[in-house]
Amino acid sequence: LSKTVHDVIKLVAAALLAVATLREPATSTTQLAKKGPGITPEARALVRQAIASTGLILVRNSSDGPMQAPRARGSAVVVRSDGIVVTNNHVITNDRTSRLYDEIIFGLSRDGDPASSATRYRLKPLIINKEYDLALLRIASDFAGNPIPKSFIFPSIELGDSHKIKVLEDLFIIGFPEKGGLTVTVNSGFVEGKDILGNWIKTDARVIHGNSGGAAVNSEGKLVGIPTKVVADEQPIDTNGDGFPDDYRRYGAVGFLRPSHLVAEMIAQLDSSETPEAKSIPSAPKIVASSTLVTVRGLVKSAATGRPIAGALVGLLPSGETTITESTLLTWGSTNAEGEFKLNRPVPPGKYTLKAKALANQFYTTEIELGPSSPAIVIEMRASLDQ
Amino acid sequence: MKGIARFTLVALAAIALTATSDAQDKGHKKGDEAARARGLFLHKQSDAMSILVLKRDGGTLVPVDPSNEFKAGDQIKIQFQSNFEGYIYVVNIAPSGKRRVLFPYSEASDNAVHPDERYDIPPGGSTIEFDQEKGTEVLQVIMSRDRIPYLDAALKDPEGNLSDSASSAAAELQGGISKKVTPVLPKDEGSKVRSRDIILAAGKDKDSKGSVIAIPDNGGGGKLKSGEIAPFEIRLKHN
Repeated sequence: LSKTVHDVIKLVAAALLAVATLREPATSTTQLAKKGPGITPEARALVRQAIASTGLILVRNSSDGPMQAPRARGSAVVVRSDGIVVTNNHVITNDRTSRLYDEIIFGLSRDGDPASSATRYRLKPLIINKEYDLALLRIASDFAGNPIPKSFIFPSIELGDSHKIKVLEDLFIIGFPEKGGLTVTVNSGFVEGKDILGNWIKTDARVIHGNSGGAAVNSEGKLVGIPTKVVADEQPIDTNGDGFPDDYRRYGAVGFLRPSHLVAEMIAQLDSSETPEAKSIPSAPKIVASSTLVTVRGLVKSAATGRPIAGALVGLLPSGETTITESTLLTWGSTNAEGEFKLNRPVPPGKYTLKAKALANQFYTTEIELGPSSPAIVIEMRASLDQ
Repeated sequence: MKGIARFTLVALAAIALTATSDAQDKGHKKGDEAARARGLFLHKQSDAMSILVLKRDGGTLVPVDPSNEFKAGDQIKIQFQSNFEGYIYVVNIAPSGKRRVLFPYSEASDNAVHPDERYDIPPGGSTIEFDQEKGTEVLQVIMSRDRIPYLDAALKDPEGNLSDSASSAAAELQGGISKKVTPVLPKDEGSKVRSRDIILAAGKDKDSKGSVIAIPDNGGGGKLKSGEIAPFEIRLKHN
């Protein structure tokens, strides 16, 4: 297609789509005229406290060159004082590959300026909810990889009841927008509406690139939503009168927040899956959300004697994946004395590459297909030199 | 759980000392093999180690047959000694499959073992106490000429948990080379590590010599070479 024809098609398409939905916040939107929020000094102080819980997300891939510094991707909020953090899934996911970034770094500072005084931490994904574009992560270590003392208390935000939020209530957006110079930036608006079926809160508060995953708090400083996307009202215009639209005019935008009750549900899911011991240990299991998940169980035994092999590690990768990293390893588990294993996270039905390794260094690889009622997997391992 | 250093062995009973190597089933008669194993250990003709399971009886620790039954509240200590310069790893596999590196200790700065030195698990005056949960525990012991990076990596965890995180599990599945640990083995050579056969002399009650595990010296090849390991298991069952 020539550039001209392509542009015309694009503009016509834009004309048909009166409202363009953006997965990520728009780089610039013409907002409705803002009203000054008439909140009390006490409320203002509570909102300021919430700033300490909001940080900057930076990401890096292991394939990046040594000179490639972590790059800012969005915002995140500490929702539990033991270091549980929420953000948007799209903030920690590579748009091109749809994979989680290898390194997810969280800059947190009390004065909200991660460039000058932030402590940087490394995050590990715990629960990914692709449907609602939310992710729960744990602060696993400091930037250098040193574990966080179990007694350490992070400044966490209190969750508000987003079910009870009402139209025209005040809202404050806290985050690290690119246009805000990547220092903490707060702006205000109000609740424009609620989409109960779609699980959205709509706001006129400014939401732009970098706000994703941050905090939307009420006048009590409680988290009521996660800024997730903007829907911009863009209308094509024909400036030269040739009958073809040749420009856009943006009339405004609506910010969309994921309500905080979804975050509360994810934390409850985390609580139900964590043992008390696991809660105190920074670990990073990933959960692949799906309505029909398969729990993978099986047995590892010696091909020669039929004896169970204890302590073997079994893991699943996407089918055909040959590189094993924390990003590609979907779920894993190890065998008990009877050679039995149950992988730590259920996975959706489908094809996978199964890898196993015994402590004595036998290796095993095979392709498997999991259905909703797949039988237990039997792995027969041979001595390492037989492979 | 009093006086416990790092972990509780969950519900044990009949202990069986078995080699993970399939070849252990073959070969010499048990009595001959036991005498041979002890001879190889004592005379350092091949790489070998002795393991003693001690059970608290009143105020003292007495040697017990590893196949004895244990019950909740029993306290034990594992002592071992090697006749070679190298590395020994002891991994506990719980009934759930959860794995912890018990030796080297997480706080150890140097995990090399030296001939004729005694090592205690847990160290000092601590003991391991069995709780109420029933099941089979496994102590997997690995003799190696080299450090094993993915086991070393587990020592970064305060509890010695093995592959508790996606990154460490990925490193282990990839071949035991963790990017966080400088490998002794050549890069990507993890899958070429060779597992050696062993012969065994089982320990008995009140026998302070304990059990002895030795690499057969067939053809003079009883020494571990770089890239070789000799693994075996102590299986602990509690009914």
